[in-house]
Amino acid sequence: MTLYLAGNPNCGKSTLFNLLCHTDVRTGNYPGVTVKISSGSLRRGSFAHTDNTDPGSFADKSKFAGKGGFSRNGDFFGNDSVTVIDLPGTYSLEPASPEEAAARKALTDAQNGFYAQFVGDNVGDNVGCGNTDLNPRGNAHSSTCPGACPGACPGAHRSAIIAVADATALPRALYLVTELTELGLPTLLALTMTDELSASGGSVDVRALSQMLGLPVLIAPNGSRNKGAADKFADDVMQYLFRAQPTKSRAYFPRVNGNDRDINARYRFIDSVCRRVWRSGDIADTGNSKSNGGENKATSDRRYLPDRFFLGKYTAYPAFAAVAASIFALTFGVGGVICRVFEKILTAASSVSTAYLTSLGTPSMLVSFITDGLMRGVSGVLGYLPVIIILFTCLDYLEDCGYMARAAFLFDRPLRAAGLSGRSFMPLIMGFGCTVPALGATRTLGSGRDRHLTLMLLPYMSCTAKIPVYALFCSLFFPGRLLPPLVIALLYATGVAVALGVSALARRFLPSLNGQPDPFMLELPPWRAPRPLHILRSALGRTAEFLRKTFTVILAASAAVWFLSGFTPSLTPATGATDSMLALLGRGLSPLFYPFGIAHGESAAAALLAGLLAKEAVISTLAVGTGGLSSLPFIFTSSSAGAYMTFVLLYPPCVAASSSLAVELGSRRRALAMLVCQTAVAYAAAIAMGWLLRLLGMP
Amino acid sequence: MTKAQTAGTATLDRLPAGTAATVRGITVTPRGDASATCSGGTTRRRLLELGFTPGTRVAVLCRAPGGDPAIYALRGYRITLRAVLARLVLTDTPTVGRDS
Repeated sequence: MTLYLAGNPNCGKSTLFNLLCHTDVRTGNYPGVTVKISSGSLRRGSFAHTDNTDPGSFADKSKFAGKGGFSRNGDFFGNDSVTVIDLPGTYSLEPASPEEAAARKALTDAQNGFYAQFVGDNVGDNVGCGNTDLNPRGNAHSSTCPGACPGACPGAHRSAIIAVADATALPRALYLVTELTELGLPTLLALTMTDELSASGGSVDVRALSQMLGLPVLIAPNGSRNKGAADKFADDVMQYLFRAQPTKSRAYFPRVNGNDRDINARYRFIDSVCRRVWRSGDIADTGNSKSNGGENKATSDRRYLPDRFFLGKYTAYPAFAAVAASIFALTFGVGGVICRVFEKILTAASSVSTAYLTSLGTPSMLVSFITDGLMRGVSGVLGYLPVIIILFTCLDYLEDCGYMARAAFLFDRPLRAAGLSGRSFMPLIMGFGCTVPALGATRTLGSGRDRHLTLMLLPYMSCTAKIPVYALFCSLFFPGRLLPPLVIALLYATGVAVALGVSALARRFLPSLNGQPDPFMLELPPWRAPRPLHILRSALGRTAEFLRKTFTVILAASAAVWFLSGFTPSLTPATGATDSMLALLGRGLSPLFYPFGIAHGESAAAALLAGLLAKEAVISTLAVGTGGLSSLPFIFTSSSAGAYMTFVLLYPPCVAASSSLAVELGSRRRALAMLVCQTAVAYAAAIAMGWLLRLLGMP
Repeated sequence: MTKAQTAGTATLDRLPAGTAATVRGITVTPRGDASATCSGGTTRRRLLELGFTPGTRVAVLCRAPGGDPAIYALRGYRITLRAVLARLVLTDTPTVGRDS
């Protein structure tokens, strides 16, 4: 048995999913958080228990107007697990984005699978019921359906839908709900955010709603930690499933090609339902109320009160600057301090384990592989983990309280300069954390063109792994209290500026990116109190996902760096820093770095090669190649250091990011072309930066 | 645009912030228009699906600095629309605030 959770974006599907399955799928107060379809198995709470001891109690507990009881006894679900599927949010079954299309495909598959299964299972058993009008989308059902056997064979229906509707936006949410009922699958309506509705002074008449729609209606538990209510809800759902039968839709509005009268008719029906069952309280306007009070309500809705400041004419951008600055300070100030402590611990651990392994009599080659190869790579990642966790926590906080959607709104117009819409704001901001999860976040974008362009620009957002490189070079070449932060801020700005340029060029010369950006229809969720525990868990989840995605790649990359820097081309152990394969490659490439103002670029080039595998390896390779970081001033001058940092900022991302870029673009060739272009751009920009700094009088 | 004005109606993008109006209808999306980017359906259809159906009250809450996009409240929720799209929504004359 499969249970599909379907509803509008940001209506609480994932929260409900977590309640039903006791899982921790990422949720947030931003439309489109769910980008992939996740599934889990229903935890039945107390139901399983009741099931075995007293099947008769169902009938008493039943709230639904099911036609029959259960002819088999209560163990039906005992050996048939219930899978719950969390679909991405959608406004209608006519998809306008890849996730909406995915949601629709899952549902239509369920619809077809349902009938196929049905025919296969029950052809001989149940004949003669006429659910022939329930299949509006033209599947070959009406003639072949052997009968919907209401109640006679509970569980024969392999799929059911939980339509999730935000009770505060019922006049809009019911649109999808009525569409869902027409799929002809057993459907149940779960109302979320009822606490918010009653806090605003509104109410829903559940019984009347159920009657008018011809659906069982349940109130979903409010808040994700209310365990008793969650179990009760799961029980109610189970009970419904037990007698699940195709919903007989009360309203039926078939799509006629070439016009949209069906939409108007559907909304007329919804308005008539809402007039009967829905009291809006302070919430802005219902469907077609003729009252003039709507606009006053709209501005006095308490859930949106902070908008007066955060979206105010004069306060909006200063407020954003303050938010961004505090995140920057928290991440790199506090995170930086923790990182330094962390690094010391990791270095100590590394030397302790070296000593321990040597004392065991391990061959020195193996010790070197483990400590210099693997452990250094791993600690390179772990070393800046605090920064990543803090950054993700901040971003999750902003998302959970609702600020992210506001930021997208504020930056829609500026992003148009890059040929994008406000929707790209969130993935781009995440790119400053780590490119890998940011690439995944582009899946919320409506248009393929926007997505492609955002993927193209993301690598120019300086990720946290590059910070150690900036920090090192700044401390050596741009000393002082004020200079390093200024230089780092300038580097970030350079990344953004180059991205703008790249976008302009790409839109000019790539026909596929030539069109208009997404029309930017973004729902603005109400401000909600952030849930600290939830944010922490979500941030840790993101971090874990990041580690999972990158760890193997980084392990392999560190092993490769160790191998390349430890052996000569004839595979004998390298004696010094100059005869390893990496050094040889670096020597071969070093002439390319003359234009940067780097005369002896062997180790600098080798470090960049290692950085292609993982950005953490840049510094360690430099240290090995130059025989200690203190000798860097002999290789670099201030201007060439600036050029080098610019190149590090802009050149292709690490293997982990590059491979997920290929995945997200759906084409290796395109990804490769993109990376080659990026290298060219980085090279040109670095040379320009070197020139600029020399013009400014730097050595 | 001119057609809308001669009919004594306004379009959503012209309403001043703080006013509300009733939707009269949606203009047919011009061919090759920038806004027809939704795959599998026109923008016109998506606007209708989002609830901008004739008779619906829509309030203009605020505009982003620069005037575009703007936030609209209808059917119990809020949504951002760019002027390009809001222009497609025909309304009657707004009830609160002055006409621009």
